[in-house]
Amino acid sequence: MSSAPKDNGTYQLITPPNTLKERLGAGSGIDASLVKNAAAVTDNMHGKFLLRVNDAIEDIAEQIELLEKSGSGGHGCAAAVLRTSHDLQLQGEAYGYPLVGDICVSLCSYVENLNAPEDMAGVIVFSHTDAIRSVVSNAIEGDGRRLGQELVDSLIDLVNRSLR
Amino acid sequence: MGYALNKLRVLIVEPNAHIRELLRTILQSVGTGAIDLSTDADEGFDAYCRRDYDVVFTDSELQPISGLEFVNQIRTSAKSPNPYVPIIMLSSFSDEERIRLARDHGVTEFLAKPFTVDIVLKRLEAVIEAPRSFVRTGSYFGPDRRRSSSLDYSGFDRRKSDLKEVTLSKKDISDQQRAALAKNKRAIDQMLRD
Repeated sequence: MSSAPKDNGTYQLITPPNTLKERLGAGSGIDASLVKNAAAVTDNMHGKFLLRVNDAIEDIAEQIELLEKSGSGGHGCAAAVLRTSHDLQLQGEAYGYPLVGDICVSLCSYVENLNAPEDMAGVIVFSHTDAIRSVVSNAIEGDGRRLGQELVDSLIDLVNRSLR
Repeated sequence: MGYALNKLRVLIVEPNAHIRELLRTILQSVGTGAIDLSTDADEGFDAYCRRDYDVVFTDSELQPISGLEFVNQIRTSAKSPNPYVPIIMLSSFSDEERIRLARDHGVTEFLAKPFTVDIVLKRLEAVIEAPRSFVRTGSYFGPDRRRSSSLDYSGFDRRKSDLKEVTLSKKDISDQQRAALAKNKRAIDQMLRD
Protein backbone atom coordinates (compact mmCIF):
# COMPACT_ATOMS: atom_id res chain seq x y z
CA MET A 1 0.00 0.00 0.00
CA SER A 2 1.29 3.48 -0.68
CA SER A 3 1.83 5.96 2.09
CA ALA A 4 0.95 9.63 1.91
CA PRO A 5 3.91 11.74 0.82
CA LYS A 6 6.02 12.88 3.73
CA ASP A 7 7.01 16.47 3.43
CA ASN A 8 9.51 17.99 5.79
CA GLY A 9 9.80 21.23 3.89
CA THR A 10 13.09 20.40 2.17
CA TYR A 11 12.08 17.18 0.44
CA GLN A 12 9.03 15.06 -0.21
CA LEU A 13 9.22 11.27 0.19
CA ILE A 14 6.74 9.39 -1.98
CA THR A 15 6.13 5.65 -1.72
CA PRO A 16 4.07 4.44 -4.70
CA PRO A 17 2.19 1.15 -4.20
CA ASN A 18 3.99 -1.97 -5.50
CA THR A 19 1.36 -2.75 -8.11
CA LEU A 20 3.93 -4.59 -10.21
CA LYS A 21 4.48 -7.34 -7.66
CA GLU A 22 0.74 -7.59 -7.08
CA ARG A 23 0.16 -8.03 -10.80
CA LEU A 24 2.84 -10.69 -11.17
CA GLY A 25 0.91 -13.06 -8.94
CA ALA A 26 1.42 -14.73 -5.59
CA GLY A 27 4.67 -16.40 -6.50
CA SER A 28 8.14 -15.09 -5.75
CA GLY A 29 11.40 -15.09 -7.63
CA ILE A 30 12.07 -16.31 -11.15
CA ASP A 31 11.52 -19.99 -11.82
CA ALA A 32 14.90 -21.75 -11.65
CA SER A 33 14.20 -23.88 -14.71
CA LEU A 34 13.53 -20.72 -16.74
CA VAL A 35 16.79 -19.19 -15.53
CA LYS A 36 18.60 -22.35 -16.61
CA ASN A 37 16.87 -22.13 -19.98
CA ALA A 38 17.92 -18.50 -20.40
CA ALA A 39 21.52 -19.41 -19.54
CA ALA A 40 21.53 -22.23 -22.10
CA VAL A 41 20.14 -19.99 -24.83
CA THR A 42 22.67 -17.23 -24.16
CA ASP A 43 25.52 -19.76 -24.00
CA ASN A 44 24.45 -20.83 -27.47
CA MET A 45 24.48 -17.20 -28.65
CA HIS A 46 27.93 -16.80 -27.15
CA GLY A 47 29.15 -19.85 -29.04
CA LYS A 48 27.75 -18.46 -32.29
CA PHE A 49 29.58 -15.19 -31.67
CA LEU A 50 32.88 -17.07 -31.49
CA LEU A 51 32.11 -18.69 -34.85
CA ARG A 52 31.08 -15.34 -36.33
CA VAL A 53 34.42 -13.83 -35.30
CA ASN A 54 36.22 -16.36 -37.47
CA ASP A 55 33.85 -15.70 -40.36
CA ALA A 56 34.33 -11.95 -39.97
CA ILE A 57 38.13 -12.26 -40.02
CA GLU A 58 37.93 -14.36 -43.17
CA ASP A 59 35.59 -11.84 -44.80
CA ILE A 60 38.04 -9.04 -44.04
CA ALA A 61 40.95 -11.08 -45.43
CA GLU A 62 38.97 -11.70 -48.64
CA GLN A 63 38.40 -7.98 -49.08
CA ILE A 64 42.11 -7.26 -48.69
CA GLU A 65 42.94 -10.00 -51.18
CA LEU A 66 40.40 -8.59 -53.63
CA LEU A 67 41.86 -5.11 -53.30
CA GLU A 68 45.45 -6.29 -53.71
CA LYS A 69 44.61 -8.41 -56.76
CA SER A 70 42.47 -5.93 -58.62
CA GLY A 71 44.03 -2.68 -57.45
CA SER A 72 40.65 -1.04 -57.86
CA GLY A 73 37.23 -1.17 -56.20
CA GLY A 74 38.92 0.14 -53.07
CA HIS A 75 35.83 1.99 -51.96
CA GLY A 76 33.76 -1.18 -51.88
CA CYS A 77 36.48 -3.16 -50.11
CA ALA A 78 37.06 -0.48 -47.50
CA ALA A 79 33.33 -0.12 -46.87
CA ALA A 80 33.01 -3.89 -46.42
CA VAL A 81 35.93 -3.99 -43.98
CA LEU A 82 34.45 -1.08 -42.06
CA ARG A 83 31.01 -2.68 -41.89
CA THR A 84 32.37 -6.03 -40.68
CA SER A 85 34.68 -4.44 -38.17
CA HIS A 86 31.97 -2.19 -36.75
CA ASP A 87 29.59 -5.10 -36.34
CA LEU A 88 32.32 -7.15 -34.67
CA GLN A 89 32.91 -4.25 -32.28
CA LEU A 90 29.24 -4.30 -31.26
CA GLN A 91 29.28 -8.07 -30.85
CA GLY A 92 32.44 -7.94 -28.75
CA GLU A 93 30.74 -5.50 -26.45
CA ALA A 94 27.64 -7.69 -26.20
CA TYR A 95 29.33 -11.05 -25.61
CA GLY A 96 31.93 -10.16 -23.00
CA TYR A 97 34.88 -9.35 -25.26
CA PRO A 98 35.28 -5.58 -24.91
CA LEU A 99 38.96 -5.92 -25.91
CA VAL A 100 37.75 -7.14 -29.30
CA GLY A 101 35.58 -4.04 -29.36
CA ASP A 102 38.56 -1.77 -28.63
CA ILE A 103 40.67 -3.41 -31.35
CA CYS A 104 37.83 -2.97 -33.83
CA VAL A 105 37.50 0.70 -32.90
CA SER A 106 41.14 1.13 -33.93
CA LEU A 107 40.57 -0.75 -37.19
CA CYS A 108 37.46 1.29 -37.98
CA SER A 109 39.39 4.48 -37.28
CA TYR A 110 42.11 3.38 -39.70
CA VAL A 111 39.71 2.65 -42.54
CA GLU A 112 37.63 5.79 -41.94
CA ASN A 113 40.69 8.05 -42.06
CA LEU A 114 42.39 6.70 -45.17
CA ASN A 115 43.26 9.33 -47.77
CA ALA A 116 41.93 6.96 -50.42
CA PRO A 117 40.25 3.55 -49.95
CA GLU A 118 42.89 1.98 -52.20
CA ASP A 119 45.53 2.93 -49.61
CA MET A 120 44.13 0.34 -47.22
CA ALA A 121 47.19 -1.76 -46.32
CA GLY A 122 46.79 -5.43 -45.55
CA VAL A 123 49.61 -5.37 -43.02
CA ILE A 124 47.76 -2.81 -40.87
CA VAL A 125 44.42 -4.59 -41.17
CA PHE A 126 45.95 -8.00 -40.43
CA SER A 127 47.69 -6.65 -37.32
CA HIS A 128 44.21 -5.98 -36.02
CA THR A 129 42.61 -9.23 -37.12
CA ASP A 130 45.56 -11.23 -35.75
CA ALA A 131 45.05 -9.51 -32.41
CA ILE A 132 41.31 -10.27 -32.50
CA ARG A 133 41.96 -13.89 -33.35
CA SER A 134 44.46 -14.16 -30.50
CA VAL A 135 42.03 -12.62 -27.99
CA VAL A 136 39.17 -14.91 -28.98
CA SER A 137 41.19 -18.13 -29.35
CA ASN A 138 42.71 -17.55 -25.93
CA ALA A 139 39.28 -16.70 -24.47
CA ILE A 140 40.48 -13.35 -23.17
CA GLU A 141 37.23 -11.91 -21.88
CA GLY A 142 37.11 -8.46 -20.38
CA ASP A 143 39.51 -5.66 -21.26
CA GLY A 144 42.68 -7.77 -21.12
CA ARG A 145 43.89 -5.60 -18.22
CA ARG A 146 47.13 -3.62 -18.66
CA LEU A 147 48.52 -5.76 -21.47
CA GLY A 148 45.25 -5.59 -23.35
CA GLN A 149 45.30 -1.81 -23.22
CA GLU A 150 48.97 -1.72 -24.22
CA LEU A 151 48.14 -3.88 -27.22
CA VAL A 152 45.36 -1.49 -28.23
CA ASP A 153 47.68 1.50 -27.72
CA SER A 154 50.27 -0.12 -30.00
CA LEU A 155 47.64 -0.65 -32.68
CA ILE A 156 46.57 2.98 -32.38
CA ASP A 157 50.20 4.10 -32.73
CA LEU A 158 50.55 1.89 -35.80
CA VAL A 159 47.42 3.36 -37.36
CA ASN A 160 48.50 6.93 -36.62
CA ARG A 161 51.91 6.33 -38.12
CA SER A 162 50.52 4.73 -41.26
CA LEU A 163 48.03 7.56 -41.81
CA ARG A 164 50.71 10.27 -41.63
CA MET B 1 6.03 -20.92 -7.85
CA GLY B 2 7.69 -17.91 -9.45
CA TYR B 3 6.39 -14.61 -10.79
CA ALA B 4 3.84 -14.63 -13.60
CA LEU B 5 6.28 -12.87 -15.91
CA ASN B 6 3.90 -13.27 -18.83
CA LYS B 7 2.23 -10.16 -17.39
CA LEU B 8 5.45 -8.14 -17.40
CA ARG B 9 5.83 -5.35 -19.97
CA VAL B 10 9.37 -4.21 -20.73
CA LEU B 11 10.85 -1.49 -22.93
CA ILE B 12 14.47 -1.84 -24.07
CA VAL B 13 16.18 1.29 -25.46
CA GLU B 14 19.58 0.20 -26.82
CA PRO B 15 21.44 1.22 -29.99
CA ASN B 16 23.62 -1.93 -30.15
CA ALA B 17 21.55 -4.53 -32.02
CA HIS B 18 23.45 -7.45 -30.48
CA ILE B 19 22.94 -6.23 -26.93
CA ARG B 20 19.31 -5.52 -27.69
CA GLU B 21 18.89 -9.07 -28.95
CA LEU B 22 20.81 -10.61 -26.04
CA LEU B 23 18.73 -8.77 -23.45
CA ARG B 24 15.50 -9.53 -25.29
CA THR B 25 16.46 -13.20 -25.44
CA ILE B 26 17.18 -13.36 -21.71
CA LEU B 27 13.87 -11.73 -20.81
CA GLN B 28 11.92 -13.79 -23.33
CA SER B 29 13.53 -17.02 -22.08
CA VAL B 30 12.18 -16.43 -18.57
CA GLY B 31 8.68 -15.80 -19.93
CA THR B 32 8.40 -12.00 -20.10
CA GLY B 33 5.04 -11.14 -21.67
CA ALA B 34 5.78 -8.08 -23.77
CA ILE B 35 9.17 -6.75 -24.83
CA ASP B 36 9.38 -3.66 -27.03
CA LEU B 37 12.62 -2.46 -28.58
CA SER B 38 13.85 1.01 -29.46
CA THR B 39 17.18 2.09 -30.87
CA ASP B 40 17.35 5.70 -29.78
CA ALA B 41 16.01 8.13 -27.19
CA ASP B 42 13.36 9.76 -29.39
CA GLU B 43 11.89 6.45 -30.50
CA GLY B 44 12.19 5.19 -26.92
CA PHE B 45 10.30 8.10 -25.39
CA ASP B 46 7.57 7.91 -28.05
CA ALA B 47 7.15 4.21 -27.28
CA TYR B 48 7.16 4.91 -23.56
CA CYS B 49 4.36 7.48 -23.92
CA ARG B 50 2.19 5.13 -25.99
CA ARG B 51 2.16 2.10 -23.74
CA ASP B 52 2.20 1.21 -20.06
CA TYR B 53 5.56 -0.37 -19.17
CA ASP B 54 6.60 -2.03 -15.93
CA VAL B 55 10.36 -1.76 -16.43
CA VAL B 56 12.61 0.22 -18.77
CA PHE B 57 16.12 -0.91 -19.70
CA THR B 58 18.17 1.86 -21.29
CA ASP B 59 21.73 2.24 -22.43
CA SER B 60 23.74 5.16 -21.09
CA GLU B 61 24.93 6.11 -24.59
CA LEU B 62 21.92 7.13 -26.67
CA GLN B 63 21.24 9.56 -29.49
CA PRO B 64 20.09 12.29 -30.03
CA ILE B 65 20.10 12.83 -26.26
CA SER B 66 22.14 10.89 -23.72
CA GLY B 67 20.78 8.00 -21.69
CA LEU B 68 20.83 10.20 -18.59
CA GLU B 69 18.77 12.89 -20.34
CA PHE B 70 16.34 10.19 -21.51
CA VAL B 71 15.93 9.01 -17.90
CA ASN B 72 15.40 12.60 -16.82
CA GLN B 73 12.71 12.93 -19.50
CA ILE B 74 10.81 9.93 -18.13
CA ARG B 75 11.09 11.29 -14.61
CA THR B 76 10.19 14.92 -15.23
CA SER B 77 8.51 15.48 -18.61
CA ALA B 78 4.86 16.54 -18.50
CA LYS B 79 4.27 14.00 -21.31
CA SER B 80 5.63 11.08 -19.28
CA PRO B 81 2.70 8.80 -18.39
CA ASN B 82 4.50 7.29 -15.38
CA PRO B 83 7.51 8.96 -13.76
CA TYR B 84 7.84 6.17 -11.18
CA VAL B 85 8.74 3.38 -13.59
CA PRO B 86 11.83 1.38 -12.56
CA ILE B 87 14.69 2.21 -14.94
CA ILE B 88 17.69 -0.08 -15.29
CA MET B 89 20.66 1.55 -17.01
CA LEU B 90 23.20 -0.46 -19.02
CA SER B 91 26.67 0.95 -19.42
CA SER B 92 30.16 -0.08 -20.50
CA PHE B 93 31.49 2.37 -17.92
CA SER B 94 31.19 1.29 -14.31
CA ASP B 95 33.34 3.80 -12.45
CA GLU B 96 32.02 5.37 -9.28
CA GLU B 97 31.48 8.76 -10.88
CA ARG B 98 29.24 7.44 -13.65
CA ILE B 99 27.26 5.33 -11.25
CA ARG B 100 26.77 8.38 -9.04
CA LEU B 101 25.67 10.43 -12.06
CA ALA B 102 23.20 7.74 -13.08
CA ARG B 103 21.77 7.64 -9.60
CA ASP B 104 21.52 11.43 -9.48
CA HIS B 105 19.57 11.45 -12.75
CA GLY B 106 16.93 9.08 -11.43
CA VAL B 107 18.18 5.65 -12.51
CA THR B 108 16.80 2.87 -10.32
CA GLU B 109 19.39 0.13 -10.92
CA PHE B 110 22.72 0.04 -12.75
CA LEU B 111 23.87 -2.83 -14.95
CA ALA B 112 27.49 -2.89 -16.13
CA LYS B 113 28.26 -4.39 -19.52
CA PRO B 114 29.14 -7.12 -20.26
CA PHE B 115 26.35 -8.65 -18.24
CA THR B 116 25.34 -12.20 -17.46
CA VAL B 117 21.91 -13.80 -17.26
CA ASP B 118 22.16 -13.92 -13.47
CA ILE B 119 22.96 -10.23 -13.12
CA VAL B 120 20.13 -9.13 -15.44
CA LEU B 121 17.61 -11.23 -13.57
CA LYS B 122 18.95 -10.07 -10.21
CA ARG B 123 18.29 -6.47 -11.24
CA LEU B 124 14.81 -7.39 -12.45
CA GLU B 125 14.01 -9.10 -9.17
CA ALA B 126 15.26 -6.08 -7.27
CA VAL B 127 12.81 -3.71 -8.96
CA ILE B 128 9.94 -6.18 -8.48
CA GLU B 129 10.62 -7.08 -4.85
CA ALA B 130 12.02 -3.88 -3.43
CA PRO B 131 10.86 -0.85 -5.39
CA ARG B 132 12.43 2.32 -4.09
CA SER B 133 10.53 5.21 -2.61
CA PHE B 134 10.78 8.43 -4.57
CA VAL B 135 12.15 11.74 -3.44
CA ARG B 136 11.22 15.19 -4.71
CA THR B 137 13.42 18.14 -3.88
CA GLY B 138 13.97 21.47 -5.56
CA SER B 139 16.51 19.95 -7.92
CA TYR B 140 15.78 16.22 -8.02
CA PHE B 141 12.93 13.83 -8.61
CA GLY B 142 13.66 10.12 -8.64
CA PRO B 143 14.32 7.02 -6.57
CA ASP B 144 15.54 7.57 -3.02
CA ARG B 145 19.33 7.64 -3.34
CA ARG B 146 20.02 6.76 0.25
CA ARG B 147 21.14 3.27 1.25
CA SER B 148 18.31 1.38 2.96
CA SER B 149 18.89 -1.47 5.41
CA SER B 150 15.60 -3.04 4.30
CA LEU B 151 16.89 -3.58 0.78
CA ASP B 152 18.33 -7.05 0.20
CA TYR B 153 19.19 -6.49 -3.41
CA SER B 154 22.08 -5.03 -5.36
CA GLY B 155 22.16 -1.95 -7.60
CA PHE B 156 23.57 1.06 -5.90
CA ASP B 157 24.19 -0.88 -2.69
CA ARG B 158 27.87 -1.66 -3.09
CA ARG B 159 28.46 -4.97 -1.39
CA LYS B 160 31.39 -7.15 -2.39
CA SER B 161 29.30 -9.25 -4.75
CA ASP B 162 28.18 -6.07 -6.49
CA LEU B 163 31.74 -4.83 -6.81
CA LYS B 164 32.54 -8.12 -8.48
CA GLU B 165 29.62 -7.62 -10.86
CA VAL B 166 30.47 -4.12 -11.91
CA THR B 167 34.06 -5.07 -12.61
CA LEU B 168 33.23 -8.01 -14.86
CA SER B 169 34.95 -6.21 -17.73
CA LYS B 170 38.13 -6.04 -15.62
CA LYS B 171 38.47 -9.81 -15.48
CA ASP B 172 41.94 -11.05 -14.56
CA ILE B 173 43.91 -12.85 -17.24
CA SER B 174 46.02 -15.97 -16.94
CA ASP B 175 49.74 -16.24 -17.68
CA GLN B 176 48.94 -17.99 -20.95
CA GLN B 177 46.57 -15.21 -21.97
CA ARG B 178 49.14 -12.61 -20.96
CA ALA B 179 51.73 -14.36 -23.13
CA ALA B 180 49.37 -14.36 -26.13
CA LEU B 181 48.74 -10.62 -25.80
CA ALA B 182 52.44 -9.91 -25.30
CA LYS B 183 53.28 -11.82 -28.49
CA ASN B 184 50.82 -9.74 -30.51
CA LYS B 185 52.16 -6.56 -28.97
CA ARG B 186 55.75 -7.49 -29.77
CA ALA B 187 54.84 -8.05 -33.43
CA ILE B 188 53.19 -4.63 -33.65
CA ASP B 189 56.02 -2.90 -31.80
CA GLN B 190 58.47 -4.46 -34.27
CA MET B 191 56.45 -2.97 -37.13
CA LEU B 192 56.59 0.40 -35.43
CA ARG B 193 60.36 0.17 -35.17
CA ASP B 194 60.84 -0.86 -38.82
